[in-house]
Amino acid sequence: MQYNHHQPIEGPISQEESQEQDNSLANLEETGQLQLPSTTESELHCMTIIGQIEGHMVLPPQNKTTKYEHILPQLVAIEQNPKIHGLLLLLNTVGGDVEAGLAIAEMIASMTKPTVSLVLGGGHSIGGPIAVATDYSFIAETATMTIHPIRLTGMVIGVPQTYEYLDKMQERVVRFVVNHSSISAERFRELMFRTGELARDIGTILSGPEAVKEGLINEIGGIGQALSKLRELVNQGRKR
Amino acid sequence: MLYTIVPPEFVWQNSDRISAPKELTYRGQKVLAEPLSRPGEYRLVQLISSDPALFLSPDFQPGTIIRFPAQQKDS
Repeated sequence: MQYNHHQPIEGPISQEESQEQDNSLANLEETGQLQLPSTTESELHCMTIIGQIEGHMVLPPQNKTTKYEHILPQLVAIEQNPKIHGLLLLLNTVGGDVEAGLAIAEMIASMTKPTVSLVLGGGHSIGGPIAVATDYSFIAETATMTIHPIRLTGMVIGVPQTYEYLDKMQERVVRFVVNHSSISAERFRELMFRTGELARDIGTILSGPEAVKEGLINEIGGIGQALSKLRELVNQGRKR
Repeated sequence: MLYTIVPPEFVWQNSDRISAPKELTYRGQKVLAEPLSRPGEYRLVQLISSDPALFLSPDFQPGTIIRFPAQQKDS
């Protein structure tokens, strides 16, 4: 049976259709990704990194999460599918698991297909390395990025060992950001440990234009600029 | 280890409401899913597969509600 979506549905919604609706709503709730019905396969794929990036621990249900165990194989599929030519990454994240975030960032940075990121709303904490992992990055004028130190919560056994462990974790983040953007390590650490800017913490909130000025993000822009940059990179790759 | 601007007390509240998912076979693939209140109805948590293309399929996105026919609901 075929449904004509341009006409109002008469009578009760069939089970099949209501399941379809349920599923798309459920997907939206869980991963922030909505599968749009399409007749043609898209040559540019889009991935959204939203809410908390969930890593080794499952987070309680009030957290909106990006599940890295699903994102990683998706990136593999995008890399190896000959029909897909580029990846657009949309970010609106409050941060999350350090290692899951770094894993996603490393995967994106090592892809051979063109990648462009767009930070909307926020790209905080571990969202920073993911935003800079792409070939080219954009940030919306109104978006912000928070750079702050990594803290350990819960049980602390040995203070010197804990400090060293945290320091090493932090260095991984600093090194990744410095290697994939034009900010210097000294400047990034300076922003990370700045006092007087955040109410509850030390660190810095960068607005869109500030993130560009610091060399963290390439350009201010929105979806139009991000997509045309991605198309440009795809076309450059074809010519080569 | 979490590196986030959200305070840990907000992230970890309701930790007791995390349910353990069940391993099921759905459309020929091994998945982890959590049972919902209606019998035979589950919410997909994770796909377990080595085929990366399946992770792009709309059928296997986390959060998808999957229903098993009535005769299978107790399995």
